[in-house]
Amino acid sequence: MRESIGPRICVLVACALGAAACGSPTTKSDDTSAVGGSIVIAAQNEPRTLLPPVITQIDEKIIADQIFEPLAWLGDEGHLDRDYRPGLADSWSWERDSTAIVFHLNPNARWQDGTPVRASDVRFTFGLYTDSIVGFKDRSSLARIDSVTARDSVTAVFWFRNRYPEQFYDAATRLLIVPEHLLAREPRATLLTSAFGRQPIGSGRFRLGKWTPNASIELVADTANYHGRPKLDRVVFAVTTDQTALPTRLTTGEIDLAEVSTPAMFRTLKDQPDLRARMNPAYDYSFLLFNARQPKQRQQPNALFADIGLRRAISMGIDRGKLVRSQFDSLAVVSTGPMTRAQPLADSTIATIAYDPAGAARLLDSLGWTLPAGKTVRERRGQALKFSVLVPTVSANRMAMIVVIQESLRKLGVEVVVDAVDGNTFLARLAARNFDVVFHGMHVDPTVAGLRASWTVASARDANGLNFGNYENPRFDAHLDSALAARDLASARPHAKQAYETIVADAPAVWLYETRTAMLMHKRLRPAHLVSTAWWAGLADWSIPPAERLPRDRVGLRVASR
Amino acid sequence: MRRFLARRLAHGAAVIFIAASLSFLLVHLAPGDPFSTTLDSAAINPSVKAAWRAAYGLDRPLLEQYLRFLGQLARGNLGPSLLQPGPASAALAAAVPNTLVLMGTALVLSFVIGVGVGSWQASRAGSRGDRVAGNASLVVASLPEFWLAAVLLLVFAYRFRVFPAGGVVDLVTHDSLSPAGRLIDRLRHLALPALTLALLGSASIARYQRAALLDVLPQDFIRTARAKGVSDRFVLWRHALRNALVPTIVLLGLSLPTLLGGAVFVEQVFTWPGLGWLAAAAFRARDYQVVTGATIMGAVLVVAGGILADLLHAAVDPRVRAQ
Repeated sequence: MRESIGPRICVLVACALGAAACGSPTTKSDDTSAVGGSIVIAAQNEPRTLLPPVITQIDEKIIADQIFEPLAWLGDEGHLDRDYRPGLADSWSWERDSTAIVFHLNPNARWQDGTPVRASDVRFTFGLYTDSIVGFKDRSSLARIDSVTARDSVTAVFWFRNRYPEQFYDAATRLLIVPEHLLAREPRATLLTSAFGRQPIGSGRFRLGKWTPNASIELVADTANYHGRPKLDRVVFAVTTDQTALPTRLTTGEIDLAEVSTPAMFRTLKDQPDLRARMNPAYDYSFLLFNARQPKQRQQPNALFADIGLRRAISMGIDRGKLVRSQFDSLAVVSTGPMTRAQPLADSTIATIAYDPAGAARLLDSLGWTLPAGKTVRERRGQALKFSVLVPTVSANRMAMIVVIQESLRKLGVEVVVDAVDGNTFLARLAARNFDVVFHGMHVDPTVAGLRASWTVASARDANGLNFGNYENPRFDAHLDSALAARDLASARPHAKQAYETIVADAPAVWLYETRTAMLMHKRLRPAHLVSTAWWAGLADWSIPPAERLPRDRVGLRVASR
Repeated sequence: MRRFLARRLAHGAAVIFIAASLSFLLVHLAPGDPFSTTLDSAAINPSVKAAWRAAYGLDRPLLEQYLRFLGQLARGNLGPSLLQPGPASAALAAAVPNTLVLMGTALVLSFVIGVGVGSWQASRAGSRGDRVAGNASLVVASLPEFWLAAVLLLVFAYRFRVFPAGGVVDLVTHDSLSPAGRLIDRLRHLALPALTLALLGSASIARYQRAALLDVLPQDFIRTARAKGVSDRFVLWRHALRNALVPTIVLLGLSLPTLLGGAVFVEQVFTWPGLGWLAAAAFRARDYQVVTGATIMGAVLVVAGGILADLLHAAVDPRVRAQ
């Protein structure tokens, strides 16, 4: 008698479909010996909220990325145009004219309260992020997405105003999808203090276990997650605002992972036998920003810094290499412009203004800023070459460096008055553009779209814009627009280079340094998906080998899940 | 006594009111507000920040905000925290017990150590041991809190690894421990911050105690006791110390403000989420209601310390009671 194979095929097909549906390629973890362990990560600030559209701090982002998911994660190689791994969407396709991307959500995706994730949640999330009253800090980065529609319950379509190289990155990674059924009735103006932000429900592989105000936030493995449970039982974020005890807590193993930004601390800790060091690429750059307009009369050009020649002379008078080495050792490199080397379109081959004090003196002389006999400050038509630099006292690095800069420029016959103010005053005066020169820093993401908000003519003329130095050059804008409108990164690169060359030559700022952060982690941790932009992106796949676990790694999930 | 107490309470209420009003005004007059504290928030459009301010009533004239604050305060309500969901009082309620535990432990320890050392010095006044202990207490009393905290951290947490370096409990294992284990865990975490405050406090107390005992020891009743053949130790601990404790007991109440001031620094170093830690974080974030609430709590402690000192003084000295 012949045996029927029909049922077997059905079972096999069902298994295969089930596996395909459930599994992201990287995250299924059924091997029970591989799971377990707890890690404690230092958080520098107590988060205000974990609701993604209103988060502003990096610690909030790190935690929110564990509880919520984007449609896709940037891949390990970090190529913006081609390297992604599934998040809420398990596949995607482009419309023929490339002005729409269709995301197919994983049909098994569930919110942590058991409700299915739907395309309408994606549409709702986009509406939330782009609503000006909500206050998403990178809202301008979504400006080129026209709308999001739900084609069916598991298909979300992103419609773009035009084709551009970072289209997929913007759609897939910028939005952490939030549940419509829990947030639709929240007043949008007060989302920052909504209760949801303290008791978030996401679709990520960790869920919030316990939030002890001003002490810690404990995330526990969501064992029912549709991607499979994380390999770790829990991740605890310990709030350690004061850095005094951090080296001790890292050395003694109270804390497993911390980012350190001071060379002294890094030197002390990098050779500790239980710790492993890793340098993260820089996405922050700092600079002395000249105000091209009068501080209190924005219509008037600045008496000093409207002059490109003077700005260049001051740039030439500062030995940035020596300054950065002495302050940061290996934790920073000299900046080359409004970019960091980690950005795909950055170009470190651009000619920058080199340190040349003799050349700076000659240039100042040629501009009429001469040094009268017996005086130490240059003058032109009776006006002394003197200005103030606004510095936030909360930044120890900037406070230390401005003194060195002051001394360098003094040798050149330029008098710098340090205008040190507390963080709030600094921000208020920055926003009001009430300064001659400001020692400012910026955080960037991998795209160049942020340049539009910070350095273009439109942003200079927008009273609420972020172009605090009022830099204007239509040529820069044109090159930037060309780069942003290019079809891909390769064709965008020459335009980006021209844009960078233009702004560097104009010297609206003295580009000082890009800071890198060093991460120190306990050697028993086995990290995964250490994406250049976000080391934490694959935290759910980090593991601790059973043989290397500490007693606290064996606490298990039972207690944490209460 | 009741009239005295009523008068002191009325004075205390006035002090608390003035402290609350000053705190409210100063924190509102300081640059920035809850929505402009992080550098990142410069990227948020000011029109959005204006909407946020309006939603929390921060766009109203300062006098109106102040009157609204007083109205809420009269009802025992500090108002909502601007940065956390829920009332500011909830944030304070979570922090105050930690500070009270820290201060209480430090207070007891500082008195035990201070009285012990001071009495020991007085019993051998002028000796080499007295001079060494006197100089040592002078040095310790002069140390800044954060420095001593850092040194103890280095020695006991980093070098010898006897105590943990921060937090109130072990963040991972605490909930899985037995009740006794949890208590030990709490005590281990309490050790270094409490020791820091206790050492600083005990140095002053030792000096007071020594001076008070040296005033008492030459008196007639001590001489009489010695003449009766009572041992030196008995004379010191049963006769002299009881009489010399009066100024030290008064110091107990007056120590509260000093301890609270020290706790602000010590809580920072040891990541101890108490009132000082919360106040510093709230001030950085300009969480007006929490800053004002923390100031009120501090003022309450100062007032309570003063009243406690008076009551203790009256309790141990019949002359004060009679007055």
